[in-house]
Amino acid sequence: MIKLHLDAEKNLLQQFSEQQSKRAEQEPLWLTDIREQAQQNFQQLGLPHRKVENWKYTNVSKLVGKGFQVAAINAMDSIDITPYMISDLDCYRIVLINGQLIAEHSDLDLLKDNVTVNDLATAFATSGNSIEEYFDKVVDYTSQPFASLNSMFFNNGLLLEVAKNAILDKPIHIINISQNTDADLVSYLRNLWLIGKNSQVDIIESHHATDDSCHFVNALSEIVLQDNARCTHYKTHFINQASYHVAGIHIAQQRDSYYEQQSFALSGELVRNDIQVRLQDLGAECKLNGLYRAEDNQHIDYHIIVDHQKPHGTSIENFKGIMDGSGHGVFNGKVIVRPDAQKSDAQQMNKNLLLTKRAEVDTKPELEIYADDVKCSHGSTVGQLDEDALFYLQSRGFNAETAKNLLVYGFASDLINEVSIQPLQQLLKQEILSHLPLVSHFEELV
Amino acid sequence: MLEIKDLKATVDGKEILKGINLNIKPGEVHAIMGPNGSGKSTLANILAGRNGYEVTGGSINYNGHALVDMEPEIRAREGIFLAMQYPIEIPGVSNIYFLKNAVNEVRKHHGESELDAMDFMKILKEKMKLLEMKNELIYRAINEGFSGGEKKRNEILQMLLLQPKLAIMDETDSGLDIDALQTISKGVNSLRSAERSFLMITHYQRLLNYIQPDFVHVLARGTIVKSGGKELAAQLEQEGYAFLDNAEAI
Ligand SMILES: Nc1ncnc2c1ncn2[C@@H]1O[C@H](COP(=O)(O)OP(=O)(O)O)[C@@H](O)[C@H]1O
Ligand SMILES: [Mg+2]
Repeated sequence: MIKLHLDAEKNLLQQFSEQQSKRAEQEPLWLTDIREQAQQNFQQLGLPHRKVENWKYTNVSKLVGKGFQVAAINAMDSIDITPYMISDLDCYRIVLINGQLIAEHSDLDLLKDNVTVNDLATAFATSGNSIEEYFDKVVDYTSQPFASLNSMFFNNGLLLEVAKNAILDKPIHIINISQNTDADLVSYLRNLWLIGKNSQVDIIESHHATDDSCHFVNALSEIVLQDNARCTHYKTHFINQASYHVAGIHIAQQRDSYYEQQSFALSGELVRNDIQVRLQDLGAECKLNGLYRAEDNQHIDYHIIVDHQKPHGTSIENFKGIMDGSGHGVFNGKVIVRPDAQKSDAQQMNKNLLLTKRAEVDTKPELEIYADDVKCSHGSTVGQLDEDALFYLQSRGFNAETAKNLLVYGFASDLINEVSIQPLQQLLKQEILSHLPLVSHFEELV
Repeated sequence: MLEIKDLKATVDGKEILKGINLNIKPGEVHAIMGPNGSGKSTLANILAGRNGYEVTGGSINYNGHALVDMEPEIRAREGIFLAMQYPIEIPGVSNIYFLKNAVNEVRKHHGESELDAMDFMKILKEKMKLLEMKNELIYRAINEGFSGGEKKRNEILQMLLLQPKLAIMDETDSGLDIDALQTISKGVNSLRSAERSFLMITHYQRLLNYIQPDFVHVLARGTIVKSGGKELAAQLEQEGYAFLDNAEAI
């Protein structure tokens, strides 16, 4: 395993130096610095293995075995995006293929007054915008080798700026499509979202693949919420059971801002989501929901840090996992309350359902509290289906399998019901229920 | 309808039922009374097929079938219904979904067509009216946030919808005020017929004033120690269970 890692690291560093000699001519100096810094960081961290604390439960050797060739961004000229749209969803659409913004499929004109959408390459080439001020400033690379790789290799990405005071009437749906032109590619996605003062926006981020081959996405997002901004961010991926999705989402919240993320990880062979929220100023509030499900040969890992840096911050985390077959889930949630962050309120809950004896989950809530006047609670549970509830349903004529499926659905339902965008809620319901055959239509479930 | 012969059962290796004999014919209403911990719920649960009980002796015959080998859902579809002492809350699954599909599972089992939403609603509304149930209760998750009385009404609602052949009620009356007791009794009495049998488990005579039994049995320490007509319930109410200390099993 270590030999595999060393070879892959060598190969990556080699790739990087070849690219960088060409790139450095086109890119601004500050970006070159960022890339080189990331390279040094990666060199130090190396590819993760199980001796590294943050990766103890997540074996990435399958992923390391892939070649890590960067996917080309010159995507197909014409691609039918209808399969990736959410039916009945009234939204502003932004489409990216392998990290490249596809203007003809995106509602850039409609968004114009409220939201500026740019591809990163264009933004880098233009001076006098805010990108230099924010880009790479939010991400924390500590034990994040995949974030380092992203900064080394990303070709393009999305810059989204929500204007000050803008209140969006419809959600923005960002469709990320991964397209393999060859085997063993990795698609690097990079996002910078600036949510302006007093603005309000709902963003759906979905990830898809064009075919049934193994797709490997490495996504890194930085999100800045300025004073009093509100953003609800839904993230989900629809990938096959042989694909990998590694995502880092780093959020910086300014005064009285509100950030909510509802994250759904219901497919993929290996999924790792690192979510890091920094409540950087007074009164910032965040809410993180997550639902994950793994069955045979699937591994889903959430690593979360919520960092209360200033007083009167609030954070609520509610994560639930369903482990079936030999599925493996990991939840690691750390809450930090800095000495300055008096009157912080931090709640964290992680509940897991193990449906088989082979299923596994590692859950570790952590609190690091350096202030004395705070309210913090955390808890985690790992349990099986309630025998009494199963019997209750069976005693009313439901067979054992249906009874089980109803209970599993019931376990997940509060998180699904919190999705307030109905067409997305329906889609997620269908996704969950596709694994839980029931006696009749789910519309009546709740 | 139901023939229980010398039924013995253990929980966690401890013998709870020590040879129960009971014969219920179509149309009969039987009441089982007895002190706490005497095994009443154990008997009811074994009849409904709940896990965790081991039948170590005797037999249960239900309309010609050996009951012990049947899955609980098959028993339910074949007409056994247990109104539970402690109805279970199930988050995320709406009561109406539960009720409608329970009815249709039973109908399918008997080769009948499934009820569509409209036909089902008509029947449901009528039964709910009889039980004086608030409409919103059917849109909530099963029993979630229901008061004690609402849970019990919901049990009887299920009974009215599923139209069982053998209805077993485990302490349906406990925790109910007189109004609720009357309403529930009205519901139960509406089901009484020459083909349908009832087994009512209760701690108090009160319920039996509203639903009059044909037979009363006293269960104590895992056996039926006395059987009689409804006058036995009145006697128990006056004298309490103290006489049991001297009583021999019959
Ligand atoms: N699941 C169980 N585990 C252990 N003991 C049980 C269980 N269920 C019942 N018992 C025991 O069996 C005896 C009879 O209980 P139960 O049938 O509930 O009595 P009743 O309904 O007459 O009050 C009691 O001593 C009780 O503690
Ligand atoms: Mg009892």
